[in-house]
Amino acid sequence: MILKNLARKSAYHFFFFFFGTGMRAGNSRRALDSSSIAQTPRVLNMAEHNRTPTGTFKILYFAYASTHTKKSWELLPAPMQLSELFEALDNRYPRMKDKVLGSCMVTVNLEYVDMDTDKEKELKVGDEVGIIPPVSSG
Amino acid sequence: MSEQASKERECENDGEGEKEEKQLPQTESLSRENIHVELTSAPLSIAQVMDRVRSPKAGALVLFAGTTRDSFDDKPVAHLSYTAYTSRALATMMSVSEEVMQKQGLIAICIVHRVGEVPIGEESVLIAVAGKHRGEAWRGGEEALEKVKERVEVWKMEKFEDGGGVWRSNRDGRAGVRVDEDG
Repeated sequence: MILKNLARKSAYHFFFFFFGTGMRAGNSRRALDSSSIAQTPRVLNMAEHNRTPTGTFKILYFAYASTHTKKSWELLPAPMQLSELFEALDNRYPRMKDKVLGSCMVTVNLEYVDMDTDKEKELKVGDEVGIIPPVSSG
Repeated sequence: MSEQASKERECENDGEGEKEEKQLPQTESLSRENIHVELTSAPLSIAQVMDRVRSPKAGALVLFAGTTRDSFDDKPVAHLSYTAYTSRALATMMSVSEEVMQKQGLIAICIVHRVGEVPIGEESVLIAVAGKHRGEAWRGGEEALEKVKERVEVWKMEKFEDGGGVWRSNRDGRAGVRVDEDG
């Protein structure tokens, strides 16, 4: 099973790479996302670092954040100041700040950040950002 | 390759993958000495979880099994599914385990959460702890569960029989956000 997962992952990354270069050649400014690339539905989404095309960070949407954006992840241009993140998302997805982000926490490379005190933080190329709504395990 | 052509190629691949996916349950776990945490799309095994904490030093094993209910506020639930931020959730399950182990002086702890669709009445979470005596085992089991529900990055979607769905929130116990459009 591990082998199979690995095989799946590399196939997936191949497409990632392909789309990354294809996008530039076609001079399209549309960001890569999980709706433009059909994604194998995976129940377990492991963090995948250092696989993002140049100039982007990866953002993951969970629960109602993914309902609002209609995707589970996408690539956004890097670098970006953390303080600009919510505005940027609100511009992409109308009313997201109001309806979703107000109740969400944010992780950068799996660590929680404080949107008030970590304002100076920069989201860098290859970072993985998570939008974390209130949890409901159990 | 045009975008359309690329998409088609993706879709072909996607369809193939999906068939395999259904046959193979996915499991990810983290283990340290006397601690095991796991997320899996397979049905949970009570025996396996108990065996992971079993110890000749233990005088008490406590098991909590959380199961999926068929209603919320009298509204019939057709089915439930869980999604996880796997790597973040496993890290949180590990730190919850370490905290409770240390605070209650437990011998071992195992936390397993199911992801994907879970049929009504089946276990969605199992927590087993081993203690030298029943006191710390009871307390440890309860404390671990409360911390899991408060912190672990797993989300429950309840789909109702009328087609709508709701993302739950443990924090406020309310209905969370309703998502009728993809019901």
